Amino acid sequence: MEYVNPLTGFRLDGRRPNEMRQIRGEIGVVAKADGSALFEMGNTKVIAAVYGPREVRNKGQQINNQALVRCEYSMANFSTGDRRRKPKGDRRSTEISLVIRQTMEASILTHLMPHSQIDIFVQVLQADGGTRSACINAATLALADAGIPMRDIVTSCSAGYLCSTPLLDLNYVEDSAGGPDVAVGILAKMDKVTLLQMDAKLPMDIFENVMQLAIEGCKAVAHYIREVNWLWEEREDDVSQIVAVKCLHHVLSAGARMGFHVIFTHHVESAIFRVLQVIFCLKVFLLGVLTSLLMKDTAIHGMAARHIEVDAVMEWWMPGIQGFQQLVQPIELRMEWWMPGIQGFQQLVQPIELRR
Amino acid sequence: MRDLQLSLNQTQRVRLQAALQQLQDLASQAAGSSSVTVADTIPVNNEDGILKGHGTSELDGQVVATLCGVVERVNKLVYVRALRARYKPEVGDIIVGRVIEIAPKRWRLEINFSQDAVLMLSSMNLPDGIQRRRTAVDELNMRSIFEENDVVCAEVRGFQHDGSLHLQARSQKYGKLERGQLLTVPAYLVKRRKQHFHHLEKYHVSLIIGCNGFIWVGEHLETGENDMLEDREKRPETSKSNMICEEQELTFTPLEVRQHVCRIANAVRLLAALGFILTVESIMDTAEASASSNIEIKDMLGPEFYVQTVEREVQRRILLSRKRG
Repeated sequence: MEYVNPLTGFRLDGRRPNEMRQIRGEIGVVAKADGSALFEMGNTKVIAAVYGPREVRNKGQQINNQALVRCEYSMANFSTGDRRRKPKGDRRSTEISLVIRQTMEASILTHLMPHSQIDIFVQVLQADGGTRSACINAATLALADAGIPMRDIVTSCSAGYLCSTPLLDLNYVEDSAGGPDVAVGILAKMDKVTLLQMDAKLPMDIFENVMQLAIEGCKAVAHYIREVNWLWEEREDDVSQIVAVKCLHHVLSAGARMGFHVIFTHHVESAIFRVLQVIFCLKVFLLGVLTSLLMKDTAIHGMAARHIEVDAVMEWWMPGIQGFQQLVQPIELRMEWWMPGIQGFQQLVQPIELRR
Repeated sequence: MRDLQLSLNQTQRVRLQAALQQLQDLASQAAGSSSVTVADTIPVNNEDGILKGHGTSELDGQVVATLCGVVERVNKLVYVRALRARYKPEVGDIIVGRVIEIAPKRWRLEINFSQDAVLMLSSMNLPDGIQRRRTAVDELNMRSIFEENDVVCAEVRGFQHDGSLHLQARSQKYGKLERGQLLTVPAYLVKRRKQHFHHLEKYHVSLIIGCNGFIWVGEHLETGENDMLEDREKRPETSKSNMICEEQELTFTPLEVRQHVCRIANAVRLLAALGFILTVESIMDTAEASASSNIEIKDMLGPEFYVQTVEREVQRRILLSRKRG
């Protein structure tokens, strides 16, 4: 299927390859929550509610010197094309809950709120690809609304690679094409990666381009999120002057409907049909398996084992793509004594695959 | 609006927008502080050393906000005051809370803080008013003082070593609140003042503006009511029918007082939805304005009075700024 028109260079939904869908945010949508937000990326629509910091419900989980962050991701029955009842806590939503939790935890200053817990509830109201990115963006807005101290705003965006073109912000049709889907979450100002997920194989140099595209998308989202907060702030500032009226909704719905076009300066290599270099693939493979082994996190492990690709939820200190490469290199060196060549690697991989 | 769903008609919308615009202009005239969002750089003069307060952190030698809020500067200290965050207790604050659990020798209260507050049996006056050691019998009778879901007024005593928040209620004015309404508003709308207990004699209503954003509006009960309770308990021999009569009398609130309570409560709701600071003056002003312009209690949360309140606030501020200037 032609996902990018070879003549015009437009995608199926009429976007350019490096163009995002229209995004829209709104805060204060749930009256009883401490913070709440609605976030739309094109037809993907997500609602997030934050409760807390509040008393830990389950005393056994209490952490003495920091806050406990919990996250629950769910999809509304009506969110997808075919309406069906979704069991709560299936594999997919458990994994996404975990991913969102770890991403948000990296930016929340948990040590400031000991003996308490923060609950983040995200629900997909309309699914059209990139739900986990939309969820992370919504959660960030909701956390900022709840007045929870954060290092930086986390924003997320996905990018893919179809028809030899890196594509920004995949929609459902492109997502289900089976190509690679790189979800990236960054701390916008600190320029650090908190989330990186890929469920397919990509040569290293193309991967870099795709990831860079996703990072630019994240930055565009961050730019917009600041604006949402800013509109709100202006109003709230009045409050502080013993003035104020909150009417964010009016402001937002009137003025802030705008799409973002991300145009890039980075060059896409013209010689696209390179043979997939096995070594590069292996590099990515090894990273995936090793990180999953290192992290000892069952859900992540399961994820990596299922796809056997890059699936690293990185710590917040990862400094951009350079840092990522630095991480890759030493692992490769360490791997050498352990697994000789691709045969050994395959031997390692096969049994995992079979177990699935 | 977070709490109110209004359907304004065209004129009301225009009036509201004009009033809001005026408010904003007035605010920018008085602007001294600036607002920031998460990860915004706060401009500071690094030469004369600064102290980083709440809501700030350091990144590459710059002071960066970790909250959305207003930058406040006190001498060297720079901090960000968060809006819409949960309540931050300070020692001596008067708060209103709801009992959620009875634990050994203590009650746990929900007070809109990041943890539940603790009210020890030993840090409150017994109903009989006698100072003595609390015995095991007292401990067993804790439910006769406060039950679950009771609304209680108390004072912040301080933080214990383990980081838990302790309350005290060592006076007649603290204790269980009955016959009224509890309203929850964002904590930043309540400013700390000398007086948080208000007896509105005209209406026979008592108003408690808790620092944690819990506001109590209820019938004014004479202190010493506790003694009456005590008396009742001492006279178990009185006939049962007599008791019921007495109880009815005790729990009866005249219709007029109930209406006053509702009117004042709606004034609080309206001001909170508008984001105006809640003081006894502003609340009474709104309630009286609604009464004088013959607006029914249920219509106080309607669009017309909403717009009127904003316009009145504009007038008030214009007057205020004229007085100043």
